[in-house]
Amino acid sequence: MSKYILIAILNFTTVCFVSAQQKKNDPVFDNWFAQQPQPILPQTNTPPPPPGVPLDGGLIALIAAGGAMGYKKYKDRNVE
Amino acid sequence: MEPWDIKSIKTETLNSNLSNSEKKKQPWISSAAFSDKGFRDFIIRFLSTLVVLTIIYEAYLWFTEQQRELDWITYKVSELSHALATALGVANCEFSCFMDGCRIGVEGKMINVLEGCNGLMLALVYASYIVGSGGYKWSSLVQVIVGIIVVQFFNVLRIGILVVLRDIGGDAYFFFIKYVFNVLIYISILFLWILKPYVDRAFEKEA
Repeated sequence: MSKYILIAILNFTTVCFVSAQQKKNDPVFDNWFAQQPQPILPQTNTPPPPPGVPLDGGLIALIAAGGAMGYKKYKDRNVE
Repeated sequence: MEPWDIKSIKTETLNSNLSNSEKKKQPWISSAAFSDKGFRDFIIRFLSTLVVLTIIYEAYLWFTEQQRELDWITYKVSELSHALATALGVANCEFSCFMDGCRIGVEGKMINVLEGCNGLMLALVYASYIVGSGGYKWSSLVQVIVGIIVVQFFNVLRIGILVVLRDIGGDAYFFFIKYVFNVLIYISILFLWILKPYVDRAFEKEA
């Protein structure tokens, strides 16, 4: 009989110890054990870069204009 | 031609009504244009020069990227634009460069000068036309150098004035950046192309 009482006490102690350990690590429980120090993270919302001043938006049009000017030049030369 | 081929009948009737000179004028750029040796050579020189120059430029950009540096042209254009903006009276005009470009202007009102803003691709198209039209001559080289200086002058002027306009504030900045300066630079290139025959004649007279 004393053997069963000893096993029961041992089980009870183990369950209490494990549950206390769980409370300490589990952030769901708001108690003194659960107060973990939070790491301080740097702010990631950096300001957007300033606007660019692009220029090469009409390159294809410029190449086409060059081709057209060349065509006109050789056409005029043939007429002469 | 079959009797039910209405399209062919219509085309034939139309062509028969046109005179010979009108028939010649009909297509704007016909295949005959490419059979003209002069024009064909121009197109080949123009496009091949453009491709070669673009490959060299892209290789240079790739090299500077590997070195983790900003390309020299973007840096110089930004530096001169900063000097111009300061000379035009922008107080506390700051200038800082990174790998992707330079930032110029007053804190909080800066503009970003990236690789696509340095105007060199426009200069390469200009140079390709000059070489395509004039061939590989000394006069072409002189015109290319002068043209690149003119294009870069307008570009520095553009960025410098944009820094001033951004400092002043208002909607004028967006209007100028979107329309006025781009049109000005493109027109300057077309103007240089139009001037080319006159410059060629001047070179021929000297020779």
